[in-house]
Amino acid sequence: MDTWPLLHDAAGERYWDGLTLALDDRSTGAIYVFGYVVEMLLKVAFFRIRMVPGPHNLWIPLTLGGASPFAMARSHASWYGRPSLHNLEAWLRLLIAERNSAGPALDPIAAGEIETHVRVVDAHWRETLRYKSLTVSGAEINEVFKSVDWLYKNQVLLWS
Amino acid sequence: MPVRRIKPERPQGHPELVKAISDELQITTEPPLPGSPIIIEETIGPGPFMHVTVIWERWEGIPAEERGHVIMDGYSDYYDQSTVGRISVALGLTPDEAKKLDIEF
Repeated sequence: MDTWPLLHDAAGERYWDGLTLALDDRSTGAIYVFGYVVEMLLKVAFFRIRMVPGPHNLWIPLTLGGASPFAMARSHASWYGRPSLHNLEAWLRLLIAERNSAGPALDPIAAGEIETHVRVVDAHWRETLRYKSLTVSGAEINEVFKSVDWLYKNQVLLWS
Repeated sequence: MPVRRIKPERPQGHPELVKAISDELQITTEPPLPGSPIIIEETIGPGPFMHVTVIWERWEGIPAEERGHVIMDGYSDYYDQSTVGRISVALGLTPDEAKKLDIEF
């Protein structure tokens, strides 16, 4: 069962997994795992802003005949032409739009900082990295880690 | 004993950059002059909100948060509060940063 508190716990675990891989020079694996940290933090924020109850299974409709929280997100994300549930930029835009309409809106300056860090990770990460054998430079892993670390430590901004 | 009341104050940083952005908002000619900020306004989602990205070499060495303040101040100098209130993201990037992040300009 997927719930947002479980996603939140998993984001914390993947953060430390990614750090362990990075310190062990397993840079591609580290970036693969770090991308999911950001994806899960954005999802948690969206579901919290949508006031999805913590114990609710995210694949089950919230109301009889309604959409599941994930289906809601997929439908909203199609606004941006990126209905993939793994697209970090789409999740961020979805979160910003949701906060604009349902409130509280993100502070635009904080939103700019968040967007910068999400885009840095997005520029290096795709969920299909698991099929790749790549060489990642030290500069790239440092850049990704810096952004993931900022988002992880400032995650409360996403939903407060 | 007199009480000293200290209020938090945000330092007025980079007034010349604020003015340059405000000035740029008045210019409608294309292409932009060399060295001037490239301002991209993009509508986000179904509402009236917009995402402002300012791509500019002069951001070099300025932290992201300060860039955001400069953008908001530049818009506040030129537009009324209702327009400024439509900004949901204020993002400042150097041209190199924008290229790395696949932002077209």
